[in-house]
Amino acid sequence: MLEIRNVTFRRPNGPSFSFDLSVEQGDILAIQGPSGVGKTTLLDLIAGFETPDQGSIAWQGQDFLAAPPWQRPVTNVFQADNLFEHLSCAENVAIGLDDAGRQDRAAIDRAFQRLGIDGLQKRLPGTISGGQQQRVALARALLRGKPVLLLDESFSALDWPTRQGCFDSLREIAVADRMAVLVVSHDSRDAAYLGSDALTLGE
Amino acid sequence: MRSFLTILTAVAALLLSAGTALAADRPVLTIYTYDSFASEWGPGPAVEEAFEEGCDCDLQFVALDSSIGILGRVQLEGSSSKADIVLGLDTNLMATARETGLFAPHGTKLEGRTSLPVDFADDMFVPFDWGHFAFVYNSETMAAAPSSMQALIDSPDDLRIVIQDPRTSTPGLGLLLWVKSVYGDKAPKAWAKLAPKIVTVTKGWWDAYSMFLEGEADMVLSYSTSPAYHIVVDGTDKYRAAAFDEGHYMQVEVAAMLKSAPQPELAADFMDFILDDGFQSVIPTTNWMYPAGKAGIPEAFSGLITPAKSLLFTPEEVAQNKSAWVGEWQGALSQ
Amino acid sequence: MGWRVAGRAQPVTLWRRPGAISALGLALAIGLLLLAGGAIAALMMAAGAGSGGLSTQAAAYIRHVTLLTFLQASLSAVLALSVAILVARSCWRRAMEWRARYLLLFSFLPVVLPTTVAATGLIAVWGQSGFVSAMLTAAGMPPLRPIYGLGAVLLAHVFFNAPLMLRVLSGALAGIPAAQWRLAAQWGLSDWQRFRQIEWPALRRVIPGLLALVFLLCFTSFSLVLMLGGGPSVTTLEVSIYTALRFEFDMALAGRLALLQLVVCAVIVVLLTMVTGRSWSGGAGHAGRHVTQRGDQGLAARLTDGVVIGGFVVLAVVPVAAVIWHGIGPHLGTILAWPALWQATVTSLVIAIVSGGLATGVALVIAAARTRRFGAGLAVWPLDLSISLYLAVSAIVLGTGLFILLRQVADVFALAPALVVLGNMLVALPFAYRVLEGRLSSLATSHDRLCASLGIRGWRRFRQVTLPALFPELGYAAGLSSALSLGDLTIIALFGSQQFQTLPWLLYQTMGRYRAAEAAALAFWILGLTLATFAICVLAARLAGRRHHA
Repeated sequence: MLEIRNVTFRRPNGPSFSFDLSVEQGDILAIQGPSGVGKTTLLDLIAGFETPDQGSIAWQGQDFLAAPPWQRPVTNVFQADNLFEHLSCAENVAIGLDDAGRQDRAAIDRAFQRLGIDGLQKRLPGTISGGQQQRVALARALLRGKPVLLLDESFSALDWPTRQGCFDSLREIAVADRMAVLVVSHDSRDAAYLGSDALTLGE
Repeated sequence: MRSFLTILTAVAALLLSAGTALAADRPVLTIYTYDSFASEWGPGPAVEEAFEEGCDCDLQFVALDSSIGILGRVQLEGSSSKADIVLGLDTNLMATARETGLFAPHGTKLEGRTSLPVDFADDMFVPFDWGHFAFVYNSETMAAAPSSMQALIDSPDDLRIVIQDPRTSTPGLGLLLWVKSVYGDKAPKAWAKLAPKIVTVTKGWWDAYSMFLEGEADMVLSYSTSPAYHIVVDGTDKYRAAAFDEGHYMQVEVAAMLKSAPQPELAADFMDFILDDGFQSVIPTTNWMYPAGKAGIPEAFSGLITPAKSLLFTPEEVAQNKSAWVGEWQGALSQ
Repeated sequence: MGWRVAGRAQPVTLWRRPGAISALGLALAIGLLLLAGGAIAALMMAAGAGSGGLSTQAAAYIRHVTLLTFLQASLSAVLALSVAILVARSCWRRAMEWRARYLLLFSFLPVVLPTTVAATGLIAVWGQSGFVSAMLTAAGMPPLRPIYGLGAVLLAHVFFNAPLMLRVLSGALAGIPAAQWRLAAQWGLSDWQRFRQIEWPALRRVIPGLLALVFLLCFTSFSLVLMLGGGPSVTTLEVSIYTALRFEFDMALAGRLALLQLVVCAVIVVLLTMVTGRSWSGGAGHAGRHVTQRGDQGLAARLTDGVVIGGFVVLAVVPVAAVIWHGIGPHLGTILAWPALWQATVTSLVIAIVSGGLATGVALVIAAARTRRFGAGLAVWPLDLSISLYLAVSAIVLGTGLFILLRQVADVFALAPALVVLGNMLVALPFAYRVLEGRLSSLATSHDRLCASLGIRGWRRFRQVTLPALFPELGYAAGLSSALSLGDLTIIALFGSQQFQTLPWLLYQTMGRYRAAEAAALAFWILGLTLATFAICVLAARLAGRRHHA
């Protein structure tokens, strides 16, 4: 279980935020609310891009606030720019993995199949659609073997049917791989479609 | 990165080897001179051959862009200079050069060996040729040349002349002194009136003369002997020197050996060789000047103008006033 | 839970820690600063050594040269701007979208076109025995007066700078919102009103920066003035530093002039950074499309635009065409038989490759160090200063300083090859740096979070993520620095001799001898080598980038 307890954060000369929430393994939590209420800040605190002023963030009871981003049990799919333009899709997936993972071509191929993007392995990101790009990023996130998955408006730029397809894959994965998933979204349809709990910030 | 370092090392090695490859077994006598002297058309090759016949040595000319540049270069290099001899200064620079303390007495007997129109006795400089400065023109495109400096200055401004820079070139300095000896304190005014006719001011004599031959100017500052070149080499007498009523400024070109010469004995030998026939006989038809020693003058020289009056400042006068006069010139020309 | 409305996330730079590359960058930067400091100190000492008080004559001379340089640079900047505004408006009015693209493409040419080549081309067109004179003579008119002097220098400066200004001004015009053009068309504004109300406000934003930049370029102009100025009546501070050093061997005067030049340039560089935001460097992306305006289609307007654009093409293209025309003639064979040509070619290429490679390498290391964050910004200033200093310290000032500094300990002329490589590298450094730093910092911002979250750090991040994405810029920077070095007549003018010649130096000598045809062939040779070097660098980098994915 991912637990965020009594976390407060204030930017220099900026607004202050405080968070208290938890997500179980295999669950998806949708974070909603208007812009500026701290949705992205919350994900940044979990991923380690920002450091809270106080509070604790823990996985399975172990606080990981002291760890740098790459040692946390966390993986991200950002809204855009998830892929390096000069690397093929398969290389983009491999680059985020440890040495063993990088060697395991079969696992990469399986992930592509699972997300319905098989055949794109050799393509450059610039030559595939936005929905396909985000699925490649999702494939990488899956293979990294981190239990917490953070999605920050990852599918928001996609049209609704494409987004539905991505959510279907996401839901399947969360359950199958027992991941704790946080989905930041400004669109209330997303939480409804995912059928997940929704936390609305700013209320 | 590694391949880059390899390239760098290779280049360094290349540059170094280029420098050391020149080191031969025979002793090398290094002479700094101006470009046209050392060129294949100049006296350089013949002089080199004649001198090397009498010594087991390698004479090397280092050609500099301009004559006054030679002095600057050895001043800059100081006692670490590779040069044994500088060749191509003139009487106007003698006092300045002497003050640098870089030069050694030549130990050569001059008496009875020279044929200069002026007295020349100096323990440091050996004269190698002489001549009069004059403006040269093409008589086919210019029917009547000005007959005096005043007439030149009063010419309409569409007359195009090309001259040399007095800071770099002995002819340039010669013209400056010529105007000064004609006009004295009124020289700046004369220059200001001459300025619109000056197409360009070149660094050395060769640049200016080439420009004139290419038709980019009507007259060029050169020597009264320059037409002889065209008579002998081109077989034409269309190029003439304009005789000026006020007289012509004279130039005696000289050489000197350096105190720090790496080959002092060879250098002394060469200083003595300058007035020998092997050197002097090639001067008229390669440097196109009158020989300073006693050598025959070719037929083609007989038709040349002979100035009624020779003008010449003493080396001391020039040394004292040169920078002030150059400043005057610069000021007058940049109005 | 109490949330308050907030600002946006700031870029994360926390995981760009100083590492080996930062240490190396800092060391290089400090080396560069010491070098510049040494050169400036040498200038000051030389200037001080001659202080028996300045003679009134020397003082008057310095005053005069400074004034002349100001006058020349102001005239050049204003003339180039006027030409560029006229052409930019005409192009825009003719809605020359595809043609404008070609126009802008060749306006890139002056960036890599060596000044020596351009001067030869200008003489081939405007010289006394040039193309225009030949046409005049054929028409029974007298030929042109020789083009040496202020006129020639202004012509050359307009030739070089108007295309640069045209690019920026075209961008500014294209950035005017389409709605404004539509309104202008509806209201039927006259040409002048349109210029005053719509175009001028857009142009005005970029003009101060452009003027300052071109003023700086013309103020520090050296080789064009050297080749076209024709003696002491037209000179710049730079040229007078050179003559003081190489003609008169007057270290005190050279030192004083160089310090003066340094101060003026520093002031202009500071002004330049003050008046320019990022605004002048390019047009806005959302181009307002051209809307046909009242009077645009009239015969008079068409004719005017035709003359303006045609005139510009003649001004900018014909000199280059003349070099090519003369270059592929029989004289190419003549010069190819010169041993000196091949020697100079090898020398020039080696210098260009080494100094271009060094400039790119040093710029890369310093830029990489710059994109890393240091504690409290403490160690950033040496990096910034080491680069921007070399914008203010012109090639001549730097070379003069090195000359004076080194002559006390070594034979300057024996060190010439190394000094020319060093000088060319330093001159190209700010350009290479600007290309690389911009791309590196944008790469850093876009990759930071991703790399942090994926744990790609340090050398691995540089090699796998940054370097492949940087290939095009590396190629461009290397090509640009090598091209600059291949065309350089400034550094070589200080250190060159009959024994150590580069191609531009050989060209300068050949022009000095007034062998116009051979000079043009030589210019063609240099132009070909320069473009080839530039193209090879750019293509090789592109290839290396592509190879990476294969």
